[in-house]
Amino acid sequence: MEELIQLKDIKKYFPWKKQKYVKAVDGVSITVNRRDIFGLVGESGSGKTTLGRVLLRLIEPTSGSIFFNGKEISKIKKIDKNLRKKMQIVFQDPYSSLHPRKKIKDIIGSGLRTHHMVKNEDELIEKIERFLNLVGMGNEHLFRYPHELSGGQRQRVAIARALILNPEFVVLDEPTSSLDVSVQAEILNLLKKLREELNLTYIFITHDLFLTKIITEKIAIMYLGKIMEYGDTERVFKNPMHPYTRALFSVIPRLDAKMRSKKIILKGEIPSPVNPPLGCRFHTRCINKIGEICEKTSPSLKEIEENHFVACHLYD
Amino acid sequence: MVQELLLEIKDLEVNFYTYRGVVKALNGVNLKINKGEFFGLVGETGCGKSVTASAVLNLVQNPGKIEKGEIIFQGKELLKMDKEEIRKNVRGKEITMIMQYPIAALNPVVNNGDQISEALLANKNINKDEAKKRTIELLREVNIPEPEKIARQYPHQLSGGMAQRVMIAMMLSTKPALLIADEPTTALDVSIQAQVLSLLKDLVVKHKTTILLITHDLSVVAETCDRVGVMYAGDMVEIGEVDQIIHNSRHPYTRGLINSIPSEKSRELIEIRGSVPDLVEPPTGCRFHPRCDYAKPICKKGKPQMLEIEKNHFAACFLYEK
Repeated sequence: MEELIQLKDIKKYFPWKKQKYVKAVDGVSITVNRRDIFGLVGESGSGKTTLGRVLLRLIEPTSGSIFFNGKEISKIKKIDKNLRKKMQIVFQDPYSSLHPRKKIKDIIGSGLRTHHMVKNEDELIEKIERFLNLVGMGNEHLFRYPHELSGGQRQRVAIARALILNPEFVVLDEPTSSLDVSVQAEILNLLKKLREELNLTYIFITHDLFLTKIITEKIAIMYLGKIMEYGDTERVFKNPMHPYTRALFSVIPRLDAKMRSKKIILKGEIPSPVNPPLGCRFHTRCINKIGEICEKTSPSLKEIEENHFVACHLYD
Repeated sequence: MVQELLLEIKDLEVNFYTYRGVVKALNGVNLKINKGEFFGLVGETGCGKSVTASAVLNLVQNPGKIEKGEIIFQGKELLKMDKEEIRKNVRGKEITMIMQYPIAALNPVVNNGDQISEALLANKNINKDEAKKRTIELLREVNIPEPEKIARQYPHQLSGGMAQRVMIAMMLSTKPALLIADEPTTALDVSIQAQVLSLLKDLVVKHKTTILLITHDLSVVAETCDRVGVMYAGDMVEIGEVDQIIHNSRHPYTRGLINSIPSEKSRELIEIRGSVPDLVEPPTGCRFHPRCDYAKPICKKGKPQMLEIEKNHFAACFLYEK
């Protein structure tokens, strides 16, 4: 399998008051293979969105390196147009990510103009129509405004806008969390289909573990800026090892009573990323805490079985 | 066990008069909730679940209008009652409500303790000191650590989960007969959601509170409620006990909804084709028929009646009509 993206020890600290930092992402290393869907899972404040943006250098990492296609892109001064074209993003909220005073054709087409990818207006419209149809929408929407569309349709437009530049890689930042479940199913099936047709690689950011099970090949579970567990989706789901992952699994509401296990209800809330707990970040809420080591030493990611990494002292 | 009826909604119709036309938000909804029950009302955006709750609290406001129907609560007909009387004796006393965004629902310039005391002072004949004491007790009841400290803090200092607990404490202060929870955990993380849901469940078991939970998430309902009503485009399409709805759903919409929810077992998600109709011009007959795989000619013509399919399990679909 070919590696498309590699992150090495990425950190992103946002300055906060005097001499303090919000450690949003604190030392994350992952590898994303070409044509994979990579799931980035975590609760709010875990740093998943920040990581997604750092990856595209929409915000600059504090330290660490990003490799794209084997080339280090964290060192170059500015992402040039050619590179930007290859990496796109679909945002969470389709109600705020589309310009309210632009028509759908301009929203989808403006990238084409910027990158001089079309020669004339006819070609532009033709290409916009093709992508609009690709995401399952008719040409009648071309001259409409975003407020005339439903949430699902808007998200389709956002997807068309990202894909029309023919990217290799798309960050999907909670693309379905503001949509109803039946619409969510529609959008996810569309994204899966497009990956096959256009040879895409996705980073799929979500807080919904079950979604990652259905669509991703690999997942990383984040908590307070660090990766807790990481590996092949199938292995992680079959044998969740980190106490945090296990707790998360147990509290997801399930339709089928037979699938429910005893709930591990975590005490308290996620601590502040300004002053994260020393040692393992999860130790303040962990039910399997072994002792002092958890409070003092931060566990590193260890490969417990093939392609399954866990950062926990239980497995030392 | 004999079940005592607490709330009955009969043939409720609500329209909203907008510039675009008349939005037919509720199309004759029927619902019964018994005392001590944890009832879930499920549906997607725009299905009318929140409008139903507003109608019960007499909060349907211009341009909305309750066209017809009856809402009978503890034997009294709410729609015939004087508005002022409802405000004094029902809303905020007998029926209380917690909302999706607790921080927006709390007053930002009054500290948490005083907000709860205010509710106590307004509804009960007690003095300030007693109210303060009761406030701390209430905060403790909803599992807030260090209630004295939280009572002195302001809403902006609380996390979403904490703020929702403060809301719940406030709404319990009057010992309501019915607590309406409108998407109480939608804005919360799963681990916090689990805490709040288990708290609500405790209230039903320990304090015999009746809860009407409104949510878009059928899995949440499956885990917490006793009975469920599924709504679609202003119609109640299926009502039954949780197990009946999850494992033996009869209405094609409920089935579609269940299939589109990601679970451990699902390999792919099955979508419901088409999209939710515009309620200015809702489809004739059964409002689900344009998206239904089983639609027959009759579905376009008449509105299907609620039929009892098995004990306590009702569905409004022509498939089951003889």
